[in-house]
Amino acid sequence: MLRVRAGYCGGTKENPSYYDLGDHTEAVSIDYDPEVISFEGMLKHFWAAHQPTRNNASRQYLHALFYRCEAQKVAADLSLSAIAAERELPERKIETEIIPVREFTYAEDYHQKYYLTQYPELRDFLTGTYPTGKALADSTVATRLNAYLFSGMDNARERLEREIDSYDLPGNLKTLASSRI
Amino acid sequence: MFSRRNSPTLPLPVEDGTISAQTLKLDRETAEKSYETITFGLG
Repeated sequence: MLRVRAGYCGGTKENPSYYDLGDHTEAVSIDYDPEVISFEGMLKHFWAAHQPTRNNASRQYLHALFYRCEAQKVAADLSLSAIAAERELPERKIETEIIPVREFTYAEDYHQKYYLTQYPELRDFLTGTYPTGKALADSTVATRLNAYLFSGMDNARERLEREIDSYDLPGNLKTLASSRI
Repeated sequence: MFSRRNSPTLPLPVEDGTISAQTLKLDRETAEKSYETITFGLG
C-alpha cells in the first residue's frame, strides 16, 4: 500500500464532515502499486474483509465499493457475480453496494492514522513534519507505521526493518518503532 | 483561534490527485510512483 486515507464519499452533500455526513458513507481510499497488485487482487481482499450478505441500514456504515471509472465498475460487478456464484447464492442476496465514488472528502485529522495516537512521540514527529491533515493522510511513512505497529500482519517486523531507514525517523523513534512489533 | 478539529464550518480537503506528503525519503519516492486507487466502506 502506498497511501491509505479515511474519508467520506458516495453521497451528494457538499462539504461532509463526521458530525454532518449527509448521505455519504465512511470509507477508506487506498493508493496501491499496480505493478505489485491488480484492482482485481484488491477486490479479493475487499470481499474477504466483510460479510456481503448483510448490510447496514445506515448509509454512514455501508459495505460498499466505490468505483471511479467504468473499468472499475465492470470489474466490481464481475467480482460480485463471482462471490454470489462461489456461495451458490442469487446475486440479489449480495447486499454490498457498488456505487460511484463521486468526490472523496478526507476525514478530520484525528481520524487519520488513528492507531498511531497510542504512540504520541511518533505521532508528534509525523504531525510536526506534516502539519496538515491531508499531508499526514497522504504519507506512506505514516500509513506503513500505522499498519505495521497494529495490523498483526505476519511479516510486519521484516517489512519495517527493510524500509525503516527511508522513514527519516530520529534515532529514538526508530528504536521505539522497531521495539514495539 | 479554532483549529479545523473544532471548526465544522471549515471545509475538509478532497482528493485532487496531489500528494502533499513529500518531506520524508520514502514519501518522496512513493509520490513519484504510478498508482491506482480503490475506495470502499466496510461498515
